[in-house]
Amino acid sequence: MTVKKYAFYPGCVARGGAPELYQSSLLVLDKLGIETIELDKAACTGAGVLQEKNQKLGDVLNIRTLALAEEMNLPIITICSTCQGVISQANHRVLKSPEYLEEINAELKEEGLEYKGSTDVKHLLWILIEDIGLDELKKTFKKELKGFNFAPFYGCYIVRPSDALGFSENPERQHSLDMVINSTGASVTDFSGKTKCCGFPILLINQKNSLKMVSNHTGEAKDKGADAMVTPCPLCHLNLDGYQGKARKANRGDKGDLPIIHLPQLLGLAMGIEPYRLGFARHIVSTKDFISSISPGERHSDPQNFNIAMLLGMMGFGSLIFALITAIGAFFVLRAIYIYEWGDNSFTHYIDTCSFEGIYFIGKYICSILGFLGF
Amino acid sequence: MKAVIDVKRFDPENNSKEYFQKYELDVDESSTILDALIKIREDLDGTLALRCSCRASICGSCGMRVNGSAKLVCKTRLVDISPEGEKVQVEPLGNMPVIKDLVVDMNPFWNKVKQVRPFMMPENTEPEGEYIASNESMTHLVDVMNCIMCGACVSDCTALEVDESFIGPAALAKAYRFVADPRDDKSKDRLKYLNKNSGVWDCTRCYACVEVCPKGVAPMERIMKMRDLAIEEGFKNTSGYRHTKSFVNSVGRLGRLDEAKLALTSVGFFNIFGLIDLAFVGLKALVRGKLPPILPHKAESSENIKKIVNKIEKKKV
Repeated sequence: MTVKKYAFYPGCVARGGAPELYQSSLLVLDKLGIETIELDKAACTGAGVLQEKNQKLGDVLNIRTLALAEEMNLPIITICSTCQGVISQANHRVLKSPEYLEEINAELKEEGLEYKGSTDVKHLLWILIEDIGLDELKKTFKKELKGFNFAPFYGCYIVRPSDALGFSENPERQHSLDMVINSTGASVTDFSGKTKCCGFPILLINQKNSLKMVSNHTGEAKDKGADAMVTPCPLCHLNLDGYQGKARKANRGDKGDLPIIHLPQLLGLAMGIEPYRLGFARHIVSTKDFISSISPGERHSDPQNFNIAMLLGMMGFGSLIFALITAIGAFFVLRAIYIYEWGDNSFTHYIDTCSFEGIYFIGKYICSILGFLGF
Repeated sequence: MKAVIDVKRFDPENNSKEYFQKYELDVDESSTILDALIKIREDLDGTLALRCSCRASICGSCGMRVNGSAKLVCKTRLVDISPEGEKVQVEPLGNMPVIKDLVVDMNPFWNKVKQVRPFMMPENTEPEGEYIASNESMTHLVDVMNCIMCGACVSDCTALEVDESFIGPAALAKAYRFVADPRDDKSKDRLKYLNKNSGVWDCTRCYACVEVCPKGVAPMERIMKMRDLAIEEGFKNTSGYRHTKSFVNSVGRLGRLDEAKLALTSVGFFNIFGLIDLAFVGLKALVRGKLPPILPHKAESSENIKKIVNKIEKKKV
């Protein structure tokens, strides 16, 4: 297999809340013969959140990322649907309007960067089909996943808005995840939620609605016989995996029992990589039964993951939370006394509106000591 | 050419359940899906109920779901959907009660539109003649004024699907049309109302409405605009605002996202139940070794990124 070279944009979540995605991606990219140079200088894409406040700022940061890759003469590979969508949209906007590109480039000048529009960003999912080809991909597989059913969950930003994602030139992108699942020998569980929202963007804003979405999608896929759900989006993963238990209990009255796996983890399993190296122990919804049905007798978790230091760290974290809750409780009691005694709201109003960055930094200081001891 | 159309049927008067009925017919190459449906009603099955009027994508009556996504069927050619004569599935619009077959009850839709007070509210007495606004002050509203109220966006809205109290994309786009109109003087009141629960912050940013809108109204982008306008008007006591602000700050400071802090600030430091809830999630994540790094990562050239963020954020104000 010829070596293919890309500039690697893993995204914040793969390096933060979903480390199993990052570790499994590196293993899989290696087996695929893909050489990568990580874009260490690139900024966060803004994930659409930054764009709602200031679209131009988002576009400048993303065009900067493209310019960094262009400087290396490489296309970008990403493992995050949301990053894919957001960078594609920025790219689409500047390629449509040369004046806008000029405006953006003016902001990059100071750093000595200029985007000419010659590079592109592609999710691993698309690269499998367009640059590697499913036949070549199948050659890297050592294990037939026949008999297993996987529900594909695309995530919004890799399917919409379609005009920014090149669907007219590459129509197979619309079904890319289905195609990759089929190539492993497994079957696709079709369900109505596969291109809907996972609820993650409103998790911290309207949790009730967000959890209903999680429950609807995972519940439907489970009812239709899926063994696991596969997603190319780590943000969807955070919600579907991290909150599934709570969501299913609240909305369907059952347990969160559908493992949500990252696309590279699926590929890794098909390539015969040991499950523990793919980070399956780092899931909130247990993947133990799923893994033992795929590779009986294989070790599921990495024993190094859990040690005494970690336990200590956990205890420290627990007591910190306890202290925080007590402090907040005490604050409310004092506040109640204050209102009762003086009946004036101006003090509490002041407390409610002032920024409590201070508390955060004290917390962070303690956490970092614990982190130093524990991890 | 041959067409195979699978229509979702429902007739409550005859106490039937929902079911799909397949029709096979010959149609012209240039036929739209609406042409085919009318042909079915006239030649094959007079009991099929559907709503249509202008047949030229002006009236907005014939919104339906084609192969799972909302479309104006008069604007959708059969050959584009099924070039090889594959089966085409036609269903009524989603997120609205079905009256019969492909006809939905639009009352909930209109009630949402009424909720945003879709009329001009000038402060001063109105001029006797025309109310003239300059061309430049109206160009940003051209696309949103194209809305024909077909309900396609409402049908596919993923937030409405789980919460019918959400005002929804069509009504919010309509609200923007007045919020951003230079002749309207109640923008602040409107934004105050839309900033509450079920308003602009409940949108999931999933792009479904942008994708299905047959008129390029892009409701989601209007909603995002109103979030920003609401913040600028000073309505800041929302998780949404804290989330956005923390996000921008984090990117400005580190070049990357500080997930732990983002979660904390969005929930709010005084939301005790939210914090307890978050602590449990954090603990679970910690056990599994996937807690976001407590000391956040910094991008290599975070100083440069900081410069860009500061410069462009300042310019905006």
